[in-house]
Amino acid sequence: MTSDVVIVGAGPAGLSAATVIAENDRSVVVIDEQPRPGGQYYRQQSAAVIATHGVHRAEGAALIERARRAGVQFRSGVSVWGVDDDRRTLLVSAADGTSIRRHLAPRIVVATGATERALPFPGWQLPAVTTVGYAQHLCAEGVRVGARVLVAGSGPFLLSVACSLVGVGVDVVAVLEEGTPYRPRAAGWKVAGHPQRLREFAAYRARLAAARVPVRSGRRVVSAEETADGLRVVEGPTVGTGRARQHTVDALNVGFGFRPQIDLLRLLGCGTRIDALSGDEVAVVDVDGATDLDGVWAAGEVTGIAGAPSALAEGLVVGAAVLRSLGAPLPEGLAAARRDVSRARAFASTLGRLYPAPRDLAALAAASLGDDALVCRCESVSAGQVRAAQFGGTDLQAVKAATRAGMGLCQGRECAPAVSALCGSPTAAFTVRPPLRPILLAAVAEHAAQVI
Amino acid sequence: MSVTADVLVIGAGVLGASTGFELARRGHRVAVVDRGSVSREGSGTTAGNLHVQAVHTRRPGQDVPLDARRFLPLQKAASDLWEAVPDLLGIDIELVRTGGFTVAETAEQLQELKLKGEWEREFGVQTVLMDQDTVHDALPALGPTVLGATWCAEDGYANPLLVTPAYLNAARRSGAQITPHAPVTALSRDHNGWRADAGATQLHVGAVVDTAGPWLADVAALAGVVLAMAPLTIQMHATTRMPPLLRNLVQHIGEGLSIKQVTSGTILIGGGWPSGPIAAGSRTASSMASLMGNIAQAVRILPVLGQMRLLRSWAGPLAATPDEMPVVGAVPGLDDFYLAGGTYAFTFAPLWAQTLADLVEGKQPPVDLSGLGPDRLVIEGGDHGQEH
Repeated sequence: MTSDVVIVGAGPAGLSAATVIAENDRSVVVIDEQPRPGGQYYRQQSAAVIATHGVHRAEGAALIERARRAGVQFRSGVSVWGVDDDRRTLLVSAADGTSIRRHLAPRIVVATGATERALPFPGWQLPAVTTVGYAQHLCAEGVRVGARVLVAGSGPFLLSVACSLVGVGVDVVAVLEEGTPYRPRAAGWKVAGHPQRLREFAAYRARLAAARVPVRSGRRVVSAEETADGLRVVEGPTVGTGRARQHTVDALNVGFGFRPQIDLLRLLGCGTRIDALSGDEVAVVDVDGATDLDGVWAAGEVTGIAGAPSALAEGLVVGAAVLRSLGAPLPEGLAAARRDVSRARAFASTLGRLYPAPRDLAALAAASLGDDALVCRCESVSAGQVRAAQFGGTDLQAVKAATRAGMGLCQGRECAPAVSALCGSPTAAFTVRPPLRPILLAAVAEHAAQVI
Repeated sequence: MSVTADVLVIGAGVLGASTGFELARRGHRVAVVDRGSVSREGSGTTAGNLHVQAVHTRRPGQDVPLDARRFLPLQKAASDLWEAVPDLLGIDIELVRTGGFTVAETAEQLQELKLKGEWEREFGVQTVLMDQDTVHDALPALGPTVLGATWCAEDGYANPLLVTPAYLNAARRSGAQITPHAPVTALSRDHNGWRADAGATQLHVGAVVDTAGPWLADVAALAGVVLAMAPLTIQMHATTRMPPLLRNLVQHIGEGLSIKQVTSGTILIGGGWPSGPIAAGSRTASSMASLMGNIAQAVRILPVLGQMRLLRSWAGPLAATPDEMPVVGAVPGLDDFYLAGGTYAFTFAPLWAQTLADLVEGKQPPVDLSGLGPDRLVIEGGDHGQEH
């Protein structure tokens, strides 16, 4: 497969970049893991679900349609699992790990988005505990994750998901927010400069109030355990002493915001930095989204979590930069997109200051874990085992080697924040190695026979 | 901080850990230091094989074949010592001796198996030569290209991520002091021993043991001896966990290949395929060419692996000498300075630990070391470091 540009990720950033590039008559292929374009935010339901429940976020479907009309070629249901030794050719497989193809493009846009940040508590491995994002996807398909549900964690997304749950008829017993973002304070007034986002936020609060869903700030999940009656969840104060409460629910949906999914950027060899506010590793990019590697751009959440509006605008800015590198004229709307990016980033930064910093949430989760609690679910490694990694010190890779934490199927995607916090090295990341997704050995062997 | 000890062991990989333990249990005051975390570089990335039958002579890309015959008495001695290691360390190091096959795919490789069988008999290593039918009966999962194999019941593996920490813990129990993140930056000789700066610690010791793996030559250089030794990098591959399906180690006589299923259920595929260039203080990148070559070869030998999923690759340094042979012994021209390193260090760990401890004590080592000494690698120096 060849094209002028390959974009990895068909979410808001990738779609937006692809559309502007294709509308200016350059060939662009978009690779995405999901069965249909849209990413997580504009996730497209199957025809059967749409027939019953209607289209979720219709603007996403419209954007995809526009991209198709412009000539964007989508390769959905395929994963980039590696980068060849030229550091440029993407190795792509079907999402089930079979049938490897190579994709060499002179220009790559990495728009791989974000993953949900998971943090451990005793019981987080139970099947009735899911992420808020998972619950949201079920809502979009008209499925209730349970009849009675507790939502907990931190960040504005909790309110959005709680509203979706209410919308499909779930009894949301409470939303627990670890921080205290809803008290008026100086930083909060800056949010007032973003009336549309503020209206969105007010609507969530109003909807939850109408459904009599309490939103309790400064509260967190202490533990969850399975009982004959359902999942018993104990909540308590985030800091200090305070009354504990018990809930018996069908499901507990937990979320701590999102982490940039930068493993492909790291495999390509792009520079990264630690974002001061979040403590997350993000791509180093210039104002056009160019990374420090020639011909590689990054757009959207991989440059720092700022939400879909920012990703859409960044996609356009990066698309324009790619077009310029191809000798095409500047597209319309570029100046507006740049303004949108800086507004959205400013909003994200203000919002970020209202909520606890992710690294503080991870530190609290780590410090609160008893020695018996699981920290790496794939390999069943407890907090006590990580703490007892005698010679490991604060070296995350050494702790991994000593305990197997992070060696399992998810390759540390889930446990990295907690394990790094536990070993006192909160911004450390597990080394990224191929394959980025498990791949069938037969497919590798077959591919090797073709290329070697 | 100032520390006085009998012996300073530089490098807390499997050789430093086992040597530190051996010296400590013989009653010496031992300090083991490492530039970074313990058990990280070669010892944390090795396959963990215990090679008893004669090894293949070339990794992919290797310039000079190693002398497989010269290895055999050393392998035999190390194999005998490994038997006692779990009891000595007192924990389960996932040591299994379920035997191994070394397969051949060509007539020429079958001849090599026969030749190696003669050497094995010479040194008392028990192996069985199997023809095509016999080996396919013994291991039906083998692919059709396998024409024969040798079988050695002594071959096995242990979990390298458990072995080195277990040695260090045992050393500590015997009184050794273990200090990670203490890079040695200066070594000098004085009238009754060596002075060393290791991180924030100044040590005054009677003898120095250099087991710094990839940085063995760098440490020797601090003492004034330049050795011809540069680390290479090699790569490993692991599948997702599988139910038990392969009990034995599978190797290849003509190519770099080792396959085994470890206690976790993961199948490890290696064989010394090269990875990206080494970078000081950071990890080397995996090579996709090696990943594909090694996997393709493994699937050819054991087609059932085709249905497994590759979960991870990793890379680590190999402290190779120009002649591919181990290096062990006293450094000529330096008093009380010993080193061990080079290829197959994991297999040889208990042997080199005894050897180094014997050399420190002025005793006869347990095996003949002729041809293995550091003298063959000395480019320059060999005089004492700066006097204080």
